[in-house]
Amino acid sequence: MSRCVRQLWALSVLSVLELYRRKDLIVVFVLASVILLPLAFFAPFGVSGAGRYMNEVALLLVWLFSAVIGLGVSARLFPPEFESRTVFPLLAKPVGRGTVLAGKYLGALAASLSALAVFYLAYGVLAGVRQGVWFGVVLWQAFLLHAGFIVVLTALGLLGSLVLTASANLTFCGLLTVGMLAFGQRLPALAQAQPAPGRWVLGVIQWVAPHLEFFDLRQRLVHDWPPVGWGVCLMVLAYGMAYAGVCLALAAWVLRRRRF
Amino acid sequence: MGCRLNRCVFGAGVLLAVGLGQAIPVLFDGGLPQVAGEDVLALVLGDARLVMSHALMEKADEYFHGGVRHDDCEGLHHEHHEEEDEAHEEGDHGGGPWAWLNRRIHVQEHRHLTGERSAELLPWLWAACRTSPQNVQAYESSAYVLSKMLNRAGEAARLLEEGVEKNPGSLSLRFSLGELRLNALKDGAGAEQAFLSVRELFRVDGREAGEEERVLALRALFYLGYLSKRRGDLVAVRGFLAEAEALNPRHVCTSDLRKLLDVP
Repeated sequence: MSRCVRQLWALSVLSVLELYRRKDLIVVFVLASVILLPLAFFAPFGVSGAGRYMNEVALLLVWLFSAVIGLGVSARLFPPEFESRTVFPLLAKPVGRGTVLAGKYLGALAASLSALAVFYLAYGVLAGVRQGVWFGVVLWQAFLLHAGFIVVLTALGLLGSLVLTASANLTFCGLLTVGMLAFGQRLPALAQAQPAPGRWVLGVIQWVAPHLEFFDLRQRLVHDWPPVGWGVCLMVLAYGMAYAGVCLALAAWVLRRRRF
Repeated sequence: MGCRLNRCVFGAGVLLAVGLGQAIPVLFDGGLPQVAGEDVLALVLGDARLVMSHALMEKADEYFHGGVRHDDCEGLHHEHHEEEDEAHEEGDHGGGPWAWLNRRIHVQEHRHLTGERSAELLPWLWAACRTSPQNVQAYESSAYVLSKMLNRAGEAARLLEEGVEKNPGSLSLRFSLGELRLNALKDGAGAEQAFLSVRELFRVDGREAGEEERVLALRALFYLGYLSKRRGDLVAVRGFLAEAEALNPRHVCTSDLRKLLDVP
């Protein structure tokens, strides 16, 4: 048991170090500063006092960068190992394929979540300085649900990296994420409004596709709406865990059956 | 030797490129295939600017409703919103477990921004005006927010003047400017100037004008009559009444002009 934990730890630490070695975080911070700093001094029509647009843009960047980092890290876990054939010495060691998969997933998750925590810390400080509200309940809920989003996204990216090429995986996961965030909420209504074949297709998408829109609390955070009930929050997190679990089980099955 | 020659050729090439870049537009003025745009946005986006500008207006409307898209509500153009700040519940309750969960996560009601908080609308309205200066509605909505919701009539007037400058054919902008000068700034002379410009523009383009433009012209005539009456110039009021009767004798503005003459 302790050996398995040590193996998982070693594999996870490698993924976290990889993210910080590539300096992705520094790049996104510089990019975010370049976008947000001029906006902070913007007074439309000479009138100051607007702040929600700034929160909205900042949160949009947080979502964009966290998705890019999450997908980028998880989609790059296995393909380079396969291409450079370093997967052979790795599997030759007394490490099970399931352990390798779990370790790499946990590493990708830890790396993405650490980046997310840094983003939310920066957002919390920015919102606190501008509006005087320091880390309210909605912000904590937004962070928790966003972490749930990362759990699902990295699992999807990992599964995709085992069944698709790297570019196809990134494109598919990117489109799925944007599509579900934009239309997920309206899928039931869209499905009901379609004639028979379209309704079935949308119905299947509604049941199979990851409902990433559940994890998006930007509207409540930007426009000062009250927090979501904690029961609902836990339900959404449980949904995310279950979906990620299914993706990981599928990924483990694919990896076990894979012939090198 | 070769290196020096390279530098000379490079320098001559740069000089030639800069010289031609400066000379060609002057030598072939008007004969070039590209037409100079107003700005970078015009050059890059072209007519898509108006679509973008309308999208930004929708974003402002969403902000007005607390971040909720609300199609049933008439948006920024009605004064009753100023008084309504209670939340309204929406009625859709179908769609299975996913819709049930979505309803609990995403806000299903809307509320209206009021008072100083209306400043939150300005960034989107500003962007809508700047993205497409041809979006008359963006200028009018921005001026409405500035003058009625934020009590900044001066800024609103400046914005409408800019709108008129960029859309000289818009009766609506000129009329809004006149109303703003009269009601918010109490500037009768400035308002009269704006209403006269509405009248003049309608005279020029009147044959092609639609019902909306006719109503604007009638309202401008009423205001002109009212301002003339305030000065005691009844002859001018009769002239405006005659014009209004020619446009629509049964319109409420025409009958109000008649009442102006009846009341001493």
